[in-house]
Amino acid sequence: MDDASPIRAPGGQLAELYERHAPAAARLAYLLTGDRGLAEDLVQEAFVRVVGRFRHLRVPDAFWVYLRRTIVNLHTSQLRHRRLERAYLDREGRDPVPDVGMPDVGAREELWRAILGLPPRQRAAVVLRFYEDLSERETAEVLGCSTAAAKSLIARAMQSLRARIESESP
Amino acid sequence: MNDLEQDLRELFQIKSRVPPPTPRPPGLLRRARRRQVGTAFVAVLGGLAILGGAFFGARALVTSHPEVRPALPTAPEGFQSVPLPNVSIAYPEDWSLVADDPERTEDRILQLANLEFGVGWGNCEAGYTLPRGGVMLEVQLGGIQGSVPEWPVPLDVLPGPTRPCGADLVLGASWTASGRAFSATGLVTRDASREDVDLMTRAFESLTFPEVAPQTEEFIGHWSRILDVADSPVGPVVLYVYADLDDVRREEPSHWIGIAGPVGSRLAGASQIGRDPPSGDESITMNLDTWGGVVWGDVSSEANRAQLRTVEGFTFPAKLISLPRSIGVENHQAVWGIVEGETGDRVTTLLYDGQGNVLNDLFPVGARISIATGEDPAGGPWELYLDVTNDGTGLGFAFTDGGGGGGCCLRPLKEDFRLDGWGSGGDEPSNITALASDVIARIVFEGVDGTAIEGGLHPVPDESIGVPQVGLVIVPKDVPLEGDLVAYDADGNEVGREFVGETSEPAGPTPEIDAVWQALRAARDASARYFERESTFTTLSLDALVDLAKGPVTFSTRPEPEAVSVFVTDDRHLAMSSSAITGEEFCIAVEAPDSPNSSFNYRYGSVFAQSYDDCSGGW
Repeated sequence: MDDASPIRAPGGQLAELYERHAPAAARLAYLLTGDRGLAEDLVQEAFVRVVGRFRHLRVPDAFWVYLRRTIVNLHTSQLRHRRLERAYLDREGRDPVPDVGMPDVGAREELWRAILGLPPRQRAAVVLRFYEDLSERETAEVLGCSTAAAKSLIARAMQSLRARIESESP
Repeated sequence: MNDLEQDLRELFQIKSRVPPPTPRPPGLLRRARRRQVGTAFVAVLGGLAILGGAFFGARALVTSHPEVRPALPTAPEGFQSVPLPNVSIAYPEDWSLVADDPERTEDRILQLANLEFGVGWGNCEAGYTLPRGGVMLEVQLGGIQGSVPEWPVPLDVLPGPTRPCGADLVLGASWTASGRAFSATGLVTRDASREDVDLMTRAFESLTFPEVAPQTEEFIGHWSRILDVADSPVGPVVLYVYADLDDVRREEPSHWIGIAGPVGSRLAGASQIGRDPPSGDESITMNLDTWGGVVWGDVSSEANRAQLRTVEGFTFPAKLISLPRSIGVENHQAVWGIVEGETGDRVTTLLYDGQGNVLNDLFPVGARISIATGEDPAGGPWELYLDVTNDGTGLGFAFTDGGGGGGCCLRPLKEDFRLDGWGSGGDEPSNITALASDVIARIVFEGVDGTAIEGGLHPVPDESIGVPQVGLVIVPKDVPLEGDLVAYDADGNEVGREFVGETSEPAGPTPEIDAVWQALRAARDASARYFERESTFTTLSLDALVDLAKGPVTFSTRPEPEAVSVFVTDDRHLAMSSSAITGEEFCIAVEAPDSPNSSFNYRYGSVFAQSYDDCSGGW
């Protein structure tokens, strides 16, 4: 850890921290949840938790590391199930939020549906590995499990995805 | 890189092109700042604090005081002895003790009463009146002007018409101790019992003063209700709860659970009680040092038992403590425990409900813990072990050169003997494992062909699991694995007997109920087959269940007798419910495995459950 140039997270830098990290956090949260509204809830909750617990950040990049870990943990935790799914149910009665991503076609859409059908930890493992480009060890650290368990999650996810794609192929 | 990995990377890049989140939502930074203020408040006073469960860290300033062990008075039976910054006191365990910040309470340093305190309670100047039967002791810094005696002094009746807080009898004393002046006031109402007055007097007489104050790290908050005290390798540590009165003046009061250890111990800090009860251990705070540390925080009142587990696999007891009703926080309780020995940056607080179900989402993964090893003439070397997984601790058995496996998760043994399971197949001998209390002295497999095979009993090294011994019987391949596993005590008395082998599930007590049970079991097995294929229940449909069901079962989207209604709770949990034509209702709760080594868990209930959690009561 570099002790030479601490930065302070609190005070006037909060807004700056949010502006800097929210877009990447939203992208990650969206890939984990497949729902933009849920993703925003997740990012906001994670932001409050991380900022609230850090007075000094000695390594600027550490904020993103902890924010990412918090997003993944919230996603796989019961908090997600209880609070965010409540929020999701509340929203269901309103107009649907349009998916503003690139148009999806054919196989890509099938793969996306298959990813969203994965159990949360498997989905998180795949997103961390292939979107965040983390190593298996780093993926394990974020998920709070052993490297072997992370490898197993990824392998099972890939197996499920392959099976799903093959079963839907003409 | 294979095609699927490449496809995933491309897909994620495309899908991640969501527009940026809405500009900062109103109140977001205010929430963050409020939380930050609380943390900073803690950090200034605390030592090395690791806050917020498994993944948050924060370092705080370290006190410059030398380490001093507070002097504690001896606590008679029914009393507990507690160090506060300026004084120690032994007081009745069921009374309320509050540590006050003298700078914010006009020099008052403690309040003790035989009744429950409320926030800001006991302020006589504000018009507070003691309720009937109440007695209260207050101790202040400073004393009556003029010459006062050295401690100890008696608590005398004060003459005159003054009746603070509506007390009918006022006692008082002034003294000096360790070069500082103190005074005390005892308030007694007319209906107070003589016994309570005596208890208050004994508490007063127990006051013990440090040579140098403060003797503890600071209590955060100017009004700290003491919850508990525990010994640690660095001295006594106090657990307390307080309401942040600065927050009370705002729209949302905040409540905190804090600790204070001996001055110089760096044991200080507080953890905020959230608005909603935590589902697991996410609101736990840790203060870890080279000797060990203190873990404490706020958990749901649903928790019935708790224990601490370090990343190294060591376990320590944790205590659950109800929060005083006057705090005004419902459905929460405090938990805390002491960890001894240096540990990594993570201690997990495992929480169990009244039925022994784990409330945590994730367990810490740990190394395999060996219970016993041996060598079988046919199977070769074997090991009986505990498997510490994200789902919990399971019991496993394996031949070193062959196969093996285990289940998850062990729960405290409430009876003396319980069959855990058996494994067979391949070329190796079969194995039977059972859980046993200390009462069990011998375990035997009695096969239906008349064969009797002695087993071994092995103590479980992790006492916190609540299973004293594991029984293991290795059955040769040529012996049919069908018979009874029998447990005996030291006198040869049979204590338990369980059937081993493939057996059908029991029939219902009436034909009508049996029809429902059969339908629910068929639906249960169909759901398991679905999960094995899809790895989720989220996409489950009744059509899919109909296709997968083996046996007579009718599914329905509305309650009707002998038809099964299915309620998906989340991707791994669902409930299936039905009713008999005679009116009885039943359900099966299904929990799908979260790892390759675990298996399905089923819970049976006697209600028409519409979620996994609601299904309870057994069949």
